[in-house]
Parts: sequence; structure tokens; C-alpha cells
Amino acid sequence: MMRVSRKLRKWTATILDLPQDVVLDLPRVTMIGGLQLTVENHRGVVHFSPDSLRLAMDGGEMEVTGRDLVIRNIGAEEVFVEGQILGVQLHPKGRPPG
Amino acid sequence: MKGTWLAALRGYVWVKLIGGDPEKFLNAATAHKITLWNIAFSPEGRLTFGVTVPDFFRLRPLLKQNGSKTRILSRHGVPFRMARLSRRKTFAAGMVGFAAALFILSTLVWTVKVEGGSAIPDDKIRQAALAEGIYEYQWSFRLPDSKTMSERLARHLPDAAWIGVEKKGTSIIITVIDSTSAEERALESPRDLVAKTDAVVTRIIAENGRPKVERNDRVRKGDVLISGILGGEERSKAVVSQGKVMGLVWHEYRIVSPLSKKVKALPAPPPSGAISSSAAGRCKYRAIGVNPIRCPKPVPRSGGCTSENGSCLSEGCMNSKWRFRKTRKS
Repeated sequence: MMRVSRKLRKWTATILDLPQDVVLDLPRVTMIGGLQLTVENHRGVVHFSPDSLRLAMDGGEMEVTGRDLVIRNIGAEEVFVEGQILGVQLHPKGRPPG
Repeated sequence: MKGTWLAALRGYVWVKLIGGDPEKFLNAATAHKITLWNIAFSPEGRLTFGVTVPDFFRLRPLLKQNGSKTRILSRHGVPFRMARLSRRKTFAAGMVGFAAALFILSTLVWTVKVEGGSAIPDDKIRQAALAEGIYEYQWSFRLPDSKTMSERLARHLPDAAWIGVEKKGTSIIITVIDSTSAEERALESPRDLVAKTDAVVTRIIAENGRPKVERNDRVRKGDVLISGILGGEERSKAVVSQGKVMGLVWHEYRIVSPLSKKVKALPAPPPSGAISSSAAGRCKYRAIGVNPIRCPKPVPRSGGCTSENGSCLSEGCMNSKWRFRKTRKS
């Protein structure tokens, strides 16, 4: 059932030319240089240390690596990270979405 | 983080988390919509964050679940500052006292100004204002609104046409406008306009009455120029004649002066010490090694107006002059 609805949503998005993050509840990452990073649509913090921040997301995890990371602000939908950001990796779990 | 001043108003604390799982704690806090900010690790590996005071108390059940404790690192914001102030009673009292004094003094009337340039003396206006309770160091809340004040003041000052009372901050401005009364004119009875001197009329304008002479008429002293009687023989009306008559006026002067007169004068200083002159006009001179100087001849005296030494010597010298003279009666 989930698979069908997801397929339907993706099809609608391509047909109607809608941005995928709106329809599919995917995380949206905005990074300003290596200084600031905003992640919208996350599903909670999995791990946090000054060197890495792992965020849960639909169908996987996202890892932000860097140095002296500070979560400036955290909400139910949004995380705003500051510090020396060195990398952003996506770790899809199991099947990739879609 | 958002709206730091709002957080400062409500008060916020920097908190260190001791024990427990920081990730679980963070997720629980976000799930309960508790806003945390500046979440970082201290050098010894403890999670530190900022949280507002009301949210800090909401964190308690989460901490219990997580099996962790908090330690407050620092307190910021208005509530903590107020608490600190409450310990310094005199200072707090001073602050409150200042605000109260400012408020109380601002409700006083500090100055009463009188404007409008009225002929009514200031003292009288001030006295009337005093009677109505408008005076310096009066409580402004004891005064009625400016409309009633101006009405009451107008009752005290019937001479003024309009009185405005305006309250501007701590000063009251009373504007008094005088009523303009008509110019007082002297009473006049019916009359003719009569020539003052002999003249030749050059211009006549009768504003009231009937002109009796025309331009270029020669009038004598005492002639009626503008008659004050209107109408014919049967029906006539005496009015105050009024007008403007201009004419040429001449004056004759008869000046008599004696042919000879004695004048006291200082002897003229002898030029270069060679000449000494006498009052009679005779000239004596001694020439010592210089050319002889001619003695000035007396001026021949003939009839007419001959002037010598600035005075007219002849008798009956006529000095006639035409002059304009304006005659105006109103």
C-alpha cells in the first residue's frame, strides 16, 4: 500500500512538474559555504558529537561531518547547524526510496 | 535563538546536561516542541544548550525519563535581573521613585504663558486665570478641558473677543484676541470750507458738499470753496462739507534793513605783517622790501538788491515767490 501511494505521488510530481521535496517529504539541505547548514524535514537526531551529526530521514540517515559543530536551533522540522562543515553524506537504508 | 530579545525578556539559562543519552534527549525535546539553541559539546564532552526558563521546567519529565541531570551554567534575562534587583532594595526603590517622580512632575503645570498681544494687561489675564485655577504648579488633572477653561476665562475678560487656552505638555498657553472697536471720530457740525489765504485754485475735489470755485479761479481769504448747503432754495440741507482744494499761494515779504550799521568785528590779521587795514576801508600799508599791494576798492553802491557781507542793503526789496500750498480740511 505504501509503495503504491509513494509511486502515485512521484508520478503526480513528475506530471505536474512539482518540486520533489514538497511532494515526497524529502529532506531539504541548504548549505552556506562551509559555515552554516539548514536541514528541513528531518526525522530526529541519531547521533551528535562535535565532529559529526547524524540525522534520521525518510528511508535512511544523513551525516554532517565537520569540526566544532553546534546546533544553533532545533525544531520538529528543521535543524540549523553551525561550525566548520566538511561534508554531508547520505546513507540510504535498505531500498532507496521510489 | 529566534527573537533573542524575547528570550531575554522571559529569561533564559545555559544548561549543561549530565548523564543520559544526549541524542535521545534532543529528540524528546524536539518532539515536545521545546526550543533549545546553541547545542554544543563542552570540552569535557557534556552537552550544553540554551533554554528559556518556562521551557526549562518543561524539560524535567524528559530528564527523568532519560536518567540525566542538568546543571545551570549561567542565568540571563529580565527575571533574573529583577531578582538581583530585589536584593538591592534602595537601588530598586530609586528606580521606581525616579519613574514616579517623573510621572508626578509631568502632571504639574509648570508655566502659564499669555499670548496674542492683547491690550488687556498680562496681570489682569493672569488674575482671571488664577481665579479659574490656572496657575503655575497646579495639578493638570485638576484643570477642566481647554474648551471649558477658555469659556470660563472669557467670562472674566469681557473685553476680549476670543480666548483660547491650549495645554502643551506642562505649559498652558492663553491666547487673548482683542475685539477691534471702530475708530472714534470727532463730532462735526455743518460747515463751509473757506479759503485760508489768497490763492489760485489748481485742483478741487469735494468729498462732501458743493464746490463753489473752479480750477484757475482766484480766491481771496475767506471765500467759500466748498459749500455745506446742498439743494436749492426750497429744499436745502446743511452738511459737513469735506474736500481737498489745492492752489498756488504766494507770499510777499517786506524786509527793511538800515543802510549802515555798526558791527563789532575783530581786526583781520595783517597778511605777512605788511598790511594793517582799518574798519573804514581805508588802506594803509608799509612796504618793506616787498611789492606794494593794492588796496581793494569799495564796491559801488547802486539801486536794487545788492548784497554785501550777506545782508540786503536796499530798502523795499521785493522777494516774491510762487509756492504750492496745500489746503486740507477734513
